[in-house]
Amino acid sequence: MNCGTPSPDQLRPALGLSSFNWNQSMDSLSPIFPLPASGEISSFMGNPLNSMHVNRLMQFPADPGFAERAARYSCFSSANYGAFSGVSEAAGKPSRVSSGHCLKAKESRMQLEMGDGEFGSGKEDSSVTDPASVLGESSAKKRKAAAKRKLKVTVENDLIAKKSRSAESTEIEKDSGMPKEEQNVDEKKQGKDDGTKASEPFKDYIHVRARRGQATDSHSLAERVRREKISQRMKLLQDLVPGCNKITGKALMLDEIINYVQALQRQVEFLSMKLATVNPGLEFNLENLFAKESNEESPIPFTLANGIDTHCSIGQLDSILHQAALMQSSLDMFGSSASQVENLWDDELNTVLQSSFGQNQEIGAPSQSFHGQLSIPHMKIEL
Amino acid sequence: MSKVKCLQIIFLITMQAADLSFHRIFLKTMFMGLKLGVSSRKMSYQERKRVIKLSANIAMAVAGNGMNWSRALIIRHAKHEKNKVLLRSLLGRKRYESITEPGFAPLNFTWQKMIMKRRFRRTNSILRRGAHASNGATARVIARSMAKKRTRTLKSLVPGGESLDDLSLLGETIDYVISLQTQVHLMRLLTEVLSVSNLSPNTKGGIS
Repeated sequence: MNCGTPSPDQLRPALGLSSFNWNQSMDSLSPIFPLPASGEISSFMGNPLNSMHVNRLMQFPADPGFAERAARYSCFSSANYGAFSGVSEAAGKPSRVSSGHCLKAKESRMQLEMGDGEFGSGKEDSSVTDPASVLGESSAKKRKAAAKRKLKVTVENDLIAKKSRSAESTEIEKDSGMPKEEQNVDEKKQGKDDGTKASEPFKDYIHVRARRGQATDSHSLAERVRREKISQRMKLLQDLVPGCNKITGKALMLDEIINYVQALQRQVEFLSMKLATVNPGLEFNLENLFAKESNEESPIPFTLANGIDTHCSIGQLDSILHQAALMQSSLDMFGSSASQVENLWDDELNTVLQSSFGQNQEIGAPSQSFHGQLSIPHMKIEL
Repeated sequence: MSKVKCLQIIFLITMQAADLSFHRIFLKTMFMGLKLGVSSRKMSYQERKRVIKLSANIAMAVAGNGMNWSRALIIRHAKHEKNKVLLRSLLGRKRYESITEPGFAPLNFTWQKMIMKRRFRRTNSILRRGAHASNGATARVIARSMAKKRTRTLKSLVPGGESLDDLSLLGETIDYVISLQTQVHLMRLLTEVLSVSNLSPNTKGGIS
C-alpha cells in the first residue's frame, strides 16, 4: 500500500510528461506512454528497502531519479531531519536517504493517510491491475493525483508543523578541532548517522550541518535549509509541468508554472463549455441509471467490489460505456483511423504488459482480442 | 458480447484498482451538482455552462480536501449570491457553515497588510535604483524582482495563495496543478463518454 505511493509519482515523469502537449487542448486523450524497462526497477531495488516495498514496487516500474526524490521528500516528512543537508548532495544515492527507519516512518504515516485509498489493495489484485495499467493514462493519473496529494499532505503537514520550531531552533553542529575536514567527513557519514539515530525518538528540530567552506551562523544555515526546500519543490513542479526539463532558474520556472496553470484553467473553462453544448437539456438522472443498471446482465464475476462505496458513479459510467461499446461496434467502419488507434493501443499494450508483467501470460491474451474496443476514449466525435 | 464484457471488465478494473478516492469524490460531487443545478427546460446555454463550471470547481475542491486552496476556492464561490443555494445543498449545511465562517487566519488577508506590502516594495525598489550597486548585485536584484513579480502572479492564480509564503505557496501549487490535471482529465472523459452515448439512436435510458 505504502510503497506504492512513491511509485505513481515516479510514473509521472516516466510517462513522458515532456511530450504531453497540453496546448492542443481538445485533442484525443494523449496516448499511453510506454513505461520504462524493468531494468530501472532493479537499480532502484539496490537500496535497503525491506521486502514488502520490493514486492509492491515490482508492480510499477520506477524512474529512479524521481523515486529517490520522492523517497527523500517523504523521508523529510519523518522526523529524521539529520540527513537533510546531506540529502541534497546525495543525488543518485538513495541508500542514504531511504534508510530502514526512514522508510518505516514513511510507511506508517502513509498507512494512516492512505487508509481510504485502496491503492493496489491486496496481493490478489496484482494480476488484476495489469490491464489497469493498460489504460495507462487514466489509472496512472488517478494514482498520481491521489497518491501524490496524500504524499504532499503528509509532507506539508509535517513541514508546517515543524517549520516554526525549526526556524527558531536550528541546531548547528559546529565541529571543534579541525572544522573543514571533519565537516567533509561528517557529510559522508550522514547515512550512518541516520542509522544510529534510528533508535532515538523523533526530535523536533532540524539537524543541519554546515557545509565545507560555508558560513556557520544560524541565519545563513536556516536560509540554506529554506532555499533547499524551495528548490526541492521547484524540482517537483518541474516534473509536473511538461516541457520544463531544460529550464533552470526560478523566475523562468515560475513563468512556465504560471502559463501552465492558466492553460489548465482555460481548459476547464473550455471543457465546461463543451459539456454544456453536448447535452442541452440533459438530466443527470441517477435514478434512471440505477434502473438501467438492474436491467443489465449480471455483472462481473470478479471479487472486485472491495471498497466500492460510490457504486453509483461506476454503475452509471458502466452503463454509459456499455452503450458506447455498442456504438463502437457500429462505428468500426471508420477504417483507417480505427486501425491506427488499434495499432497504437496494441503497441502500448504490448510494451506495458511485457515490461511490467512478464509472467502473466493469461492477461496478455485477452488484451489482444479487444484492442479495438479500447479505442473508445480516443474516438473523438464532433457534434 | 464478450468484447463488450471485456471492455466493461477493464473499465471496472481501472476504476477499482487505482487509488480513486479523488476521482470518486470528484465524480460523485460533480454529478450531484449537475443534478441539482441543471433544470432541464428553461436553462440558457450560459446558465448551464456556469452551473457546470461551478460543479466542477466545487467537486475539485471537495476532493482536494485538507488543502488551503480547497477551502479558498469554496469560499470564493460562496461569495456570489447565485451559488449559495447550490453550495449549501451540495456540501451539506454543517460543512458549508464551517467552511464559510470567517475565522481562519491565513485566509484572512487584510487589505491593510497588502497596502503596507506595496509601499514597502515601492520604497525598496526606489532605494535600490538610487543606491549605487555593482554589476553583480544589480543582476541579482533584477533577478530577485523578476521572481517576486512572478510569485505575485502565481499568488493571484492559486486560490488562497495571497497570504502564503513562498514555500507553502509552492506546495499549494503542486497540489493545485495535480488537481487541475485530474479535473481536466475527468471532464474530458465525461464529455467524450456523454457525446458518444448521445449519438446512440436507442439511448436506453442512460441519459434522457
